[in-house]
Amino acid sequence: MTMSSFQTIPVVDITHLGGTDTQKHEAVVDEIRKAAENVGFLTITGHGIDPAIISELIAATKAFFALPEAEKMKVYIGNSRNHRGYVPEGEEVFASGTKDKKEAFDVSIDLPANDPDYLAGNPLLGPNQWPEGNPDFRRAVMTYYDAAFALGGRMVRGFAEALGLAPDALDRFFTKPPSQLRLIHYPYDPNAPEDQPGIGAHTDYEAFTLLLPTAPGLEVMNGEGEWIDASPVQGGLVINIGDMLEVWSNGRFTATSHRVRKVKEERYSFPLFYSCDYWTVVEPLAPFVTPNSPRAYEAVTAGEHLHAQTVQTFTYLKARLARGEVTLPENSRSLSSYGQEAKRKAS
Amino acid sequence: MQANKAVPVGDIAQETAPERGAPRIEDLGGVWQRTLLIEPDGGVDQTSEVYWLQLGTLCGDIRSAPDQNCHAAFAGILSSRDEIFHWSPRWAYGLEEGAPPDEGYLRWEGAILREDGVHAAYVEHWRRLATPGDDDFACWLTDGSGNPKGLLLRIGRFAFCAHEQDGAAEETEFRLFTHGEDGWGLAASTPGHALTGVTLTWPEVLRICGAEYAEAESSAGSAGSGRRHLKIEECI
Repeated sequence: MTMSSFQTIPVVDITHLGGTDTQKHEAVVDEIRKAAENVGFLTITGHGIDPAIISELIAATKAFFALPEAEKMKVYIGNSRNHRGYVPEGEEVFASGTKDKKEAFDVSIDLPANDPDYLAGNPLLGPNQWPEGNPDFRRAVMTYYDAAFALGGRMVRGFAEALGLAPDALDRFFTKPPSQLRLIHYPYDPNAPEDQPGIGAHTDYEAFTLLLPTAPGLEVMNGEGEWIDASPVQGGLVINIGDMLEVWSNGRFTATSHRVRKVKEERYSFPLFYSCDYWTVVEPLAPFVTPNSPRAYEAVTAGEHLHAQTVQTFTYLKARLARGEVTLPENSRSLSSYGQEAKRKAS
Repeated sequence: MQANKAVPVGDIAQETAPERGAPRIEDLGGVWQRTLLIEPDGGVDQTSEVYWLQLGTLCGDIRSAPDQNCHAAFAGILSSRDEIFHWSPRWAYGLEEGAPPDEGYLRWEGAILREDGVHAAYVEHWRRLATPGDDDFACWLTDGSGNPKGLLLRIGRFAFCAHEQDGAAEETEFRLFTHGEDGWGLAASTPGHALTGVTLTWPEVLRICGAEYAEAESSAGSAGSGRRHLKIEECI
């Protein structure tokens, strides 16, 4: 199977990843490598997150989104200096200017208010916003966040080994990452035309994404530009390679373009965008730059790249940009800078 | 404010890859300069300075004589149905009263965008000067209660604003700014603003546009909060 021909998303049981049975561990790493090189997506089972944690996350999320809009707007993301909180319908806009129908609640690493990065005005690091008087919501969300974040740490080591590196070779990039968990609610939309893209083709900006899906809709582009269905597997989590892993590996791993098909049915989705540390300068690692594989990417500061891409999507951040409150770094890349689409555009 | 060293707008042309067929609205993002108008009576105008800024569905258009005083301008929304593009001015200056809807067919002719009138037999040629980048935007200017009072667009080295004076749509002012080596300069404006020859910071541009602005670039989160400033909202 090559990147140009995959027709399905591989399912990898990671039960033995990092375990004591070396042979089984290496077999898992080998499967991760094949998936990361050939598809850029994999569904993992045997990940160890308690189903009860997932059930409580989904229940708490449904209860939150069922609150009156005014209640949810008390934790509006625009109140946050570090991009945390409630994202109402229409807050996110696409390049065409059309507004997104979904609503979301965004959390990330929950830092104290005296965190030095937060005090310094970092746009992505700081405390979460939580609705008052709703400790169950906070507990359910952060219990899942912590479990998924720990799983992400296992996957970082798995990817490192899959690249032929020492298991801890990438650990130094993940000490205080603004890894964002989004609780996304797609309301029932009777006007949604079937088989139309909802979220258009894109790659994810972080190292990788750990997705807890609850319904079909995700589609992945193979190397021939065909859209391949990535329907959820019972008990499985979907992982896709993001821009940073593509850069580190100098393109050996690909940030695969994907999109979300628009569907009428109400549904929920929970992506954890596993980011590296804000100030990490991401560039191809030395082992992957060879005479036969010259350096294919410029260095990019992970957090700046992430923030620049976020500004392009969120209305409230665009307004801050317009008011001159924030500026983008000179070297911020435009959307679709990575992945097959970028390669196709460049060719 | 300093002496203006803004680059003349006509010198900022960029190469545009040849395109074919009819565009979609999302393909039209950018700054367009009119290079030709053939009027229904056969008259040809190649001297008026006409700029059209488009981002998402929001648009601004300003038309001026060489003295930089604009004789017509509008701001509003571009929509399309089938092959026809429809400009809906929400604010307008100098447009003919009772004119038919502003509708045209658009199609690529190489790097030129050609517009053929639907309700009048005119032809316009448009050349793209800039395409939207990461830090470009189009925003509504509102009175703080959600009521639109103007538009603000910034695309590349160009910025356009339309804003009501004293809350009256018929008193709307229109301006086009371009960014030069040292800062922003006024390139075109509705009459009565002697701002040519000075260089402006972005907050000064916002202030001229009646919009709120950051007091200082270093003080994130502390937008100017003068009561008469229009709020910048609903940006794309």
